[in-house]
Amino acid sequence: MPEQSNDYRVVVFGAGGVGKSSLVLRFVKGTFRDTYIPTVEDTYRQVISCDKSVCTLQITDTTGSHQFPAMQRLSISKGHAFILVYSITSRQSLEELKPIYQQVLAIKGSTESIPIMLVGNKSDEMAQREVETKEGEAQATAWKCAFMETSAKTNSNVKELFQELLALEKKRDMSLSIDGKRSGKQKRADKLKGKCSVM
Amino acid sequence: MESAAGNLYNQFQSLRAQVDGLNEGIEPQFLQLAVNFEECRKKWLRSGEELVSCKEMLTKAETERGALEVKLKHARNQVDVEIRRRQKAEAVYEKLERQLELIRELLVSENNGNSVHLNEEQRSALAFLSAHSQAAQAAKSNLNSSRRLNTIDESASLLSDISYDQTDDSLDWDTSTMKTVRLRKRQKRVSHASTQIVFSCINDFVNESVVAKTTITVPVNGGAVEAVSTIETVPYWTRSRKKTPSTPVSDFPAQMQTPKPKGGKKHHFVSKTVIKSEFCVPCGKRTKFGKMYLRCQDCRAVTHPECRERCPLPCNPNAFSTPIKNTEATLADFAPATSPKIPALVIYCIKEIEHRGLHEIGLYRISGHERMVKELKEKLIRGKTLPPLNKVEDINVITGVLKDFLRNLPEPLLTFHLNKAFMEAAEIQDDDNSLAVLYQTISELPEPNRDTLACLMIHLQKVSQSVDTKMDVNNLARVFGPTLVGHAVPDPDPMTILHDTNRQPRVIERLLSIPTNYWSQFAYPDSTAMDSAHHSVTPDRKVSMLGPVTTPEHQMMAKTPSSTSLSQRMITIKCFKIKDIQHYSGIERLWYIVSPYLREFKDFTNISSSLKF
Repeated sequence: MPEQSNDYRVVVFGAGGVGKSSLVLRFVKGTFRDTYIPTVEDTYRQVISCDKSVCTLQITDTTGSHQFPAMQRLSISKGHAFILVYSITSRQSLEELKPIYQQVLAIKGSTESIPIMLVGNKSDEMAQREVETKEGEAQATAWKCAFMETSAKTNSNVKELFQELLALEKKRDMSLSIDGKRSGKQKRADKLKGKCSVM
Repeated sequence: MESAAGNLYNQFQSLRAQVDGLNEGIEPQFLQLAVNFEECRKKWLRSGEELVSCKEMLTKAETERGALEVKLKHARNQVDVEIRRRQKAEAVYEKLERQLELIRELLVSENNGNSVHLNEEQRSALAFLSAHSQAAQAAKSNLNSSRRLNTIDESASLLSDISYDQTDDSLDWDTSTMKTVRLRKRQKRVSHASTQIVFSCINDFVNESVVAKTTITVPVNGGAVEAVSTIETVPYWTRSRKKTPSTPVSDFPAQMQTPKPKGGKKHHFVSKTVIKSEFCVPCGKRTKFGKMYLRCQDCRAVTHPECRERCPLPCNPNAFSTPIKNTEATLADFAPATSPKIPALVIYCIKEIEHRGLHEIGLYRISGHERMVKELKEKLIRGKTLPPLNKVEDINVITGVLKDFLRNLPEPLLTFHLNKAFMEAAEIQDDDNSLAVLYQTISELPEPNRDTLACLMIHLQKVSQSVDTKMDVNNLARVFGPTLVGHAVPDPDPMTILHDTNRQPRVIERLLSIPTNYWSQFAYPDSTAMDSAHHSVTPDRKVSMLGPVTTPEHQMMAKTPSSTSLSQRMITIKCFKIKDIQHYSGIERLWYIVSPYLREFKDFTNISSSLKF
């Protein structure tokens, strides 16, 4: 796999069934599927603006059902930013993030310059809530990272989540919108148009 | 000038005449030619069509041949399995023969020693036994005589000779012989069994006597098997009257139970008095101080006397007796020395998960609390006693233990060296071929791995059938792919990990598509071969794994419960240890003989068992 320096890699971690794939799919495709399929590992790409030019946001959706240290270490060492997802309906899923956070800390040395978001997903399922918002916030404070509650199902806070994550990156100036700059697609479209007018 | 003109004219005329001549002849010829061409074209067309149809036929025949070859391969596998089973059965038969001989000798010697006159029942038993031993002797001396297993011998030798290039006809012929063999075998069995077997035991005490008799009748026409047990005592020995008859099977003191063979699935319980309270494995309640409890000598499972029937089987002797370091211990270290070689941890976890986990959403996907998983695993591997799994509130902890155990084995369940073979087998597009290669690869697995895999697959098939879990075959395959298939090397590089991870689930999917009864032969070898009564579920599911070729044994199991019970009796008789019997006398010894029968007979509704006092 050729190393693309221009890529900005975000890795999504979390226990099985908390909605990592749902969050990523909601953000990338804008859809929500009600199926129940565990992920092995998926990567999605999205074009964003970075330092006044275009770069690719690469989102790696990891597996939650089986922790393989080797794979986890690989994802962490390659990742630039991390989203740690738990489900507000399961305290256990929050507990499971702790070893992952420790792993990130161990591999990256310090987490201060690394954008990390702690995310409580499934905020639509208020009836089954097990983890209070305050608890999530407290955990985020302890880890010195940002916190947000989302719902991939109702599309609440999903885009905001990624926006804030990119805003946390201080080394580059990034945003989701690519206005003012033309994406590759648009350029290609323009080229085609130009040819048409000649004909 | 004129002459020249005339000359020219003449020439012209002659030319014209020639042209006319040519014109006249050519038209019909041309027509003929065209007609010929047309005919030729038609012929070509026809032969072209013929060619196409021939090609179609050829491809059809090819595919048929392929399918038949796969069937042949399956049949060959099946034959191998059958041969092995036959050898096992023969070994058992011989053992039984020897034991019957021993019993006979015991009876004879005992009578001589006590110089008591032979009782009538005793005499009949002795007569039966000596008749039997004579028959056995005769069978041994004359190989062509009616020794039961000879028929199977023939069939096996016939079938094992199938060579790879034999035609379809010979295959048909082979299956037909198999059928006839089956019939013959069955007839033999029934006729052999259509006799009254009387076990009896008499003991004279100082002032009372106990007379016990068990009669087992197996009619020739395949009717109901009957067992009648009578125990008679003289009036004043009240203790024996009260205790034994009322609760004939379950409550009987543990020492009296027949010790099962080493490879067996039964626990070997001894009763003890509770000093330190422990949890009963089947019911999960504590044993109370000062009361009696049972402990299996082999696997150390603890149970209340009344719960002993519900104690999870099979018993795994080695698993808990040797504490081992988890990181270095291979699967074989955890597995018992006798088949099925499945680590106890796997069996206990699966039992519990099937007991209460089949309605849990995301079973095996959602992970349990990491620390609790670690602790429970530690207890299961190293603990002296079994931690009661029903006290573990979160089922995901138990699934976690199972997954963690399998994942952290030094070698994945499908082993390093067969990893590639499994992946490639699973990727074959044609289902039949893929399965055939898989069967082959599975047979190359070490026994503990194969048995454990079989046990897991049966379990996961159950999970996938339970809609509530939302874990269908695909989902389970994704979760278990990395855990069971793993990689071909101990420390794969990242690229291999990524590449393998996408291929692993396919292997599990394929393995899960293999019918349950194929797996059962490894996971419950005793039950599929002889013990189906204890797993009343299995016979219902028995769909022949190989389609057209039916196995004689399976057929027998499904259709004739009476013969099943007979084969079971073989097993139980096998367990008699003469020297053990000598330790007990009178009614105890009787129970030694009778109780195994009663236990197995209660599984059949068509058997009437009555006790008279």
